[in-house]
Parts: sequence; C-alpha cells; structure tokens
Amino acid sequence: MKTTNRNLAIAALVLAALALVAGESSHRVSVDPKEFAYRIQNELDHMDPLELSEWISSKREGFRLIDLRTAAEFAGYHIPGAELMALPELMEMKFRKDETIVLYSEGGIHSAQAMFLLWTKGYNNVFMLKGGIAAWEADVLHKGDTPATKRPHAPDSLSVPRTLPKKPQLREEERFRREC
Amino acid sequence: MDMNAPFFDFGLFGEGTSFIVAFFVGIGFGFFLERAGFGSARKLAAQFYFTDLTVFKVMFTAVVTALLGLFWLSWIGFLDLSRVNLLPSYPLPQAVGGLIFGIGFVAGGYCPGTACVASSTGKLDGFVHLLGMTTGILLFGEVFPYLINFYDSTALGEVTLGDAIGVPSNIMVFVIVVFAVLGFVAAGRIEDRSAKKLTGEP
Repeated sequence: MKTTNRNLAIAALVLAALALVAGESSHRVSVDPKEFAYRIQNELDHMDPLELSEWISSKREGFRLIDLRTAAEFAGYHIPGAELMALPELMEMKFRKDETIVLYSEGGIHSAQAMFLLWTKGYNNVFMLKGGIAAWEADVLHKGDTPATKRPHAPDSLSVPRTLPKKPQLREEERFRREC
Repeated sequence: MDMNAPFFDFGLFGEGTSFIVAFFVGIGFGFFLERAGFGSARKLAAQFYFTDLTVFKVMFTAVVTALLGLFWLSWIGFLDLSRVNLLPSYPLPQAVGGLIFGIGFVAGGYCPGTACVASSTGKLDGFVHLLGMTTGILLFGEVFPYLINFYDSTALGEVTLGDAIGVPSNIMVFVIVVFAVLGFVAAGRIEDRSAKKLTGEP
C-alpha cells in the first residue's frame, strides 16, 4: 500500500513538473455558433444607449467601456468612463472573466468585429453599444432635441436623464447573459 | 485534436441524458466516500484531533487528480477549460460560511455529503444530521433577505486561484501538487505520532 502511494505521488510530481515545461494550456477556445446566433438573432449582443447611461449614472461596477475609435475622435468626445483602445491592443488585453465589456465605435461595424474577436478569445460577457456613438448622442445626449442641434459642443457635459424608462426585458436579457 | 469536452456543452448528450449521467456520478461519489470510511462520524471528526487525516488525504487526492486531469486534457486540446463551470468567489462570506461549516462538522461529525452517505447506510446520527441541515436551510431561507448584502459582498466573480494572484496555470499546478505531496507526508507523520501517543509508545 505504501509503495502504491509513493508511486502515485511520484507520478503526480512528474506530471506537475512536466506542466512547468509544457507551459500554459493552449487556450484554444471554441465558439458555439448556435449560442452566438441565438444572441445575435435576439439582440442579446447589444446594449441599449439608455441602459448604458443608467449603468454609468448608477456607477455600476464590474464593467469596462471600450472606445474603439481613433485617438483624435476620442479626444473630441467620448462617453464618460470609456477607455481608448485600438483593436490590436484590445486583443492583448486580459480581462477578468466576470467583467462585462461594452464596446463602441462610430457606428457599429467596428465594435461588432471586435466583439466577435473577443468571443473567440473566450470572453462571453461582451456587448456592443447599439448604434455606436451616434446612437448615444441621439438617445442620451440629445434626447428630445431637434435633429438640427444634435452634435455635442461641450464634449464632456453629459447630462444623463434622472429618470430613465424602465425596460423589464433588459433585466431578462441580463439574466440570460449571466446564465450563458 | 478536436475539442469535445465538456460533453454536455458540445451537444454530445441532451438534458435528459445529463440527469442520468449525474445520477450515476452521484452514486459513484457516494460509494467511494463510504468505502473511504466517510460514513463514520468518529473517523471524520478524528481529523480535527489529528488522529486520522484520511479526509485531508482523500480530498487532496481528488484535488490533485482533477487538477492534473483538467490541465493535461486542456493542454492536449480535448477539454475547453473556458466552458468548465466555475463557482463565483466571495472571500469574506465564504470564509464565514467555512467557519460555520467547520463548527457543524466537528460538532456533528459529518459534512452534508457524508451525512447523506451515513444515512444511506442506516446510521441514525446521519439522519439527525440531515434533519438539522434541512432545518438550517429553511431558517437560512427565511433570514436571507436580511443577509443579502453580506452574502453578495467581496464578489470576485468566476476566478481561479491563478487568475486572482496573477500566476500562470501551469505554475499553479506544480505548486499545488508539491504542497499536496508535502501535506501527505506531513499527515502520515502526524498520524504516526498520534498513534504512538495513544498507545503510550515512546
């Protein structure tokens, strides 16, 4: 019995020592196309600008807001709390698994591409701002304005509406995201 | 090699089959706990007095086996570790919960799983422990609204030990296995010393 125990301990130590040499496990992550197709179909990959503004005004923790536009555009105006990140830099980032990542670009194409790339890296809590910065300006910054006055003149003078419309389906979507 | 584990996530079987698999895994788990002597409150409580460290050895054997299995299966590309379910970490409430759990364990002689094992072999103390556990669960459910802030405090999310301290997984594997093997050696010596003390040997 003692010999068996000793042999098993030696085997475990050898496998552990080999792990040192082998390096980290390959990190090959498979993407489940059905799950992502479901999310896209049901717009569960999107974050509504109003919901984002609610998150920002309530100082919600555990989410990172990433601006994928150019440095000049970022300097001109960015959503409060956003981090400027170019796509190659984003691919090098190590996010915590429990962090929610919200991406935005000018419209939506660039953030959708970045979202797909992050999904393939195993980050599931990644969402794109629906309509990009343009929708943010229209739905949050200039809510109720006439179309002629839409572009912001004072970049950081964000006025988040005090009372935001309750959207019960968003809570459901959030629950679904957590379960995924 | 194509990734095909976890089997449920990759659609190898559906929800119905997963219940059947879970049933047999549960039966196997209970069987091996019982065979390891975990149906005896005396044996389980003996670990707190350092006279029998079987629980420590069985648990660490399971940890090391699973750790090496998960690491190497993932390394060869059979298992997608990102799809393995992790329980979220809440260090403070979990530490308090662990303390309460330990007090219950040393007082009653069982943990929840071993109480089931003991009652399945007809042990009365196992049944009493299960009754206490069920009462505790009901009470906890009643006072939960008052505890929710503490319950959700210090949330770290689904992190591994390596993620939390920023150490690569392969180094963590090595460190934990070395500690476990040293722990086994130390446990054997402690047991020998306790046995000598009990028998009055020098």
